[in-house]
Amino acid sequence: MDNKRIISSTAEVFTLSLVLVSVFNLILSGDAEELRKVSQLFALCGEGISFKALAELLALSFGISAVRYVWFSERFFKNMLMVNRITFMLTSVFVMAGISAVIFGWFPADMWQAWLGFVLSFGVGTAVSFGAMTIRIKTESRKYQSRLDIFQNACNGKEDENE
Amino acid sequence: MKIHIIRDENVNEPEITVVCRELSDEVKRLLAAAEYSDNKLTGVKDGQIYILQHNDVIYMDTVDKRIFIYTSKDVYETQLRLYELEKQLPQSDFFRANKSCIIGIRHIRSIRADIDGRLLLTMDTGDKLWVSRQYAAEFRKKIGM
Repeated sequence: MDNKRIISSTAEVFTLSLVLVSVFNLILSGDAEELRKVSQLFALCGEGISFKALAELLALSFGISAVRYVWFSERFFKNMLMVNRITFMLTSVFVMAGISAVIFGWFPADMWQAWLGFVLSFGVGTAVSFGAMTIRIKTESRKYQSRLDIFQNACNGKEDENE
Repeated sequence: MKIHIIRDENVNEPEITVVCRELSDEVKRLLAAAEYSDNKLTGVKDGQIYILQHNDVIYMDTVDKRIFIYTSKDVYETQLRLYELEKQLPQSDFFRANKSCIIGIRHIRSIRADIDGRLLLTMDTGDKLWVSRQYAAEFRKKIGM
């Protein structure tokens, strides 16, 4: 069951990362030659994503899913506050993505503009994910509450009939 | 422990009388088992045994391997195990929320879905209890989701 969750989460993160890289590829395709020199992610000059880059993105997606599982699973850190879980999870993901970027040569480690872009895109990505997650949780909670109210009213109705 | 059985054809309902120096754990367990078979729920508080109505039970929780029954007014201890309580209680009104807790659905005030499938329930008493991911599916089924 847990393996399934990690695999499906890896697939989600991997798909999202492919979409993002493809979008960047399209936006930056005008400077393809320049981009190729600084980033291994765009080694094919806007023609697509290389197998090597795909494997790297898949490895990072798996890493993110595993980290997410560790922080959010009930198996570890049972009594940790949710806000702490989210903070630790985001920090772990940020560090992992940063290390991956340096190891895989996604951008030059000594280029501050690249790091600024990385931090900004991570911030935007996190904010969007957090917003989506909050909306999902609120919608789910409303659905649960409404079903519970119906259930409790039905039970009370039965009880009144019996009386 | 001595057991005396007296057969009497004039008795309509079996009757158990316990003669003991004190309400030891052994005696409490014996009484709980007798009441379990009689489909009644009992709890012990300050050395006294109380018969509890199912409707009054808000939840049952395990603390240090001891099981407590929470009502709106008091907390009682029971000698029955959670799985025994689960069998005894009406399935439609109670559900297992996690490995250590059984909850009365009628006494849930509000539900909040949490990240990763867990549910946080606020009970009528204001107590907050978690439904683990493992048991959330059963709860969803119960309330028709």
